[in-house]
Amino acid sequence: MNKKQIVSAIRDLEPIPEVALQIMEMSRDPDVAIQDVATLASHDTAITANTLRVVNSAYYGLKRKIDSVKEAVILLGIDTIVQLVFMQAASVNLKREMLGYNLMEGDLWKHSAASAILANQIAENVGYDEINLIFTAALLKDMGKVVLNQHVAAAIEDIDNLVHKLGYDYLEAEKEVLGLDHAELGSLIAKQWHFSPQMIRIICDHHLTGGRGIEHDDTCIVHLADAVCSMMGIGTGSDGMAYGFADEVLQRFNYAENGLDQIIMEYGQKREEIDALIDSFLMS
Amino acid sequence: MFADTGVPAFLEAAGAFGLSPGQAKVVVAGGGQMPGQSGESDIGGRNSLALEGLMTDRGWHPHHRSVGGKLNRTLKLEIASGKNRIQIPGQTMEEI
Repeated sequence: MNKKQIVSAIRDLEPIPEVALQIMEMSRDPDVAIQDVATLASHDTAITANTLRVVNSAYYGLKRKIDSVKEAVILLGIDTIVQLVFMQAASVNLKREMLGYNLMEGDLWKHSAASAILANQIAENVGYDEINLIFTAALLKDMGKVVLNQHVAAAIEDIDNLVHKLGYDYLEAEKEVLGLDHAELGSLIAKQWHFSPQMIRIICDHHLTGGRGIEHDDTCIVHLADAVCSMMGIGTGSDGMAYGFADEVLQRFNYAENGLDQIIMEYGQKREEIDALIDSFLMS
Repeated sequence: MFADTGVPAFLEAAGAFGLSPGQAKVVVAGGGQMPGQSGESDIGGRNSLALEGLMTDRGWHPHHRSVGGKLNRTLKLEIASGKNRIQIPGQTMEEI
C-alpha cells in the first residue's frame, strides 16, 4: 500500500456538507443576519432535524420546545448552531470503531468532541476570537485516523516497536512505517473538503511535531486541548500518551502556574452535561 | 478531582463502609505523562507522588504498582473474582 492508495481512500468518508461550510463562513461576518443563517441551515433536512433534536435535549434545558432553526439560532446564537452542525456532520465518520488505534465504537468521537469543547473553553479564556474555527479544527483534527486506521492495524507491530522500544513519537512512527501520518492525512481531507488554508494548517500541525506551528495561537490552542483530553483519558486509544506535549504552550497563554489543573477543573465542573451532549450524537 | 483531593475522599468513603487497610488489595495504575510534560505540567507524576504519600499516611500500602512512563493504561476490575487486569498499549494484558 503506497501513500497515493491511502490518500485515495478519502473518498470513502462521508464529506462535510457544503451547507455547513457556508454557515461557518457566514458566522465570520459580525453583521450577518440570523434569518439568513436559519434559512441556509433549513435547506439541509439532516442539519435541521439534528439541530432541533439537540437544541431540545436536556443539555440546553430550554423551557419550551423549539420547532424551527430560526428560533434555535435566536435562543442559542449563531456560534452554537455552527458547532452543532459540524458535530453532526463529523460524528458520522468519527464514531466508527477503529481497532488499529484500539478505539472502540464512539471513542474517537468522544475524544474529538471533547477536544473541540475544550478548545472552545481555552480560546475564550485566552481571548482568541475565531471560536468556530478553533472548535471545528479541534473536532476534525483526527479525521485522518479514520482513513489510516486499517493501515495502522496491518502495521501495528512495526509501529509499536518504534514507539515502545525505540521511543518514537506516534506521529513519527506512522510516517516512518506508512509514509504519511494521520495529521498530514487529515489536512489532505480538509483540503479535499474545501476548508480554509488556516484550517488545513492547524490540522496538519496540531501535534506541533518538531515545533511546526508553534508560532500560531490557533494551532497551540488545538494542541493544548488535544493533549489535555488525552491526559484526562477521554476516548484515548493505544496512541494516547505517545505524542509530544509542547510545555511552552502553557507559558504562551499564561497557564504556567497550575494552568493545566485549572483547565481540567473548569472542564470537570461541566463534565456530566458535556458527556450527555457528546453521547447524544452516538444515538443519532 | 485530582489525587490530593480524590484519594482522601475515596478512602473516607471506603472507611464509612467499614473497610480498613488490612482488608483490601490495593492496585495502583496510571500516572503516565506525555513526552515534554515536566514540573507543574506533569500531572501524572504529581498525582502518583500525592497518592503514595496520602495512602502511606493512612496505613494503606499498595500490593501492586504500574505507574509512570509515557503510557496510558486501562485498569479492569472483575468484581466476582477480585482479579485486576492492566492493559498497556503494545504489551500483553497483565493479570494481578
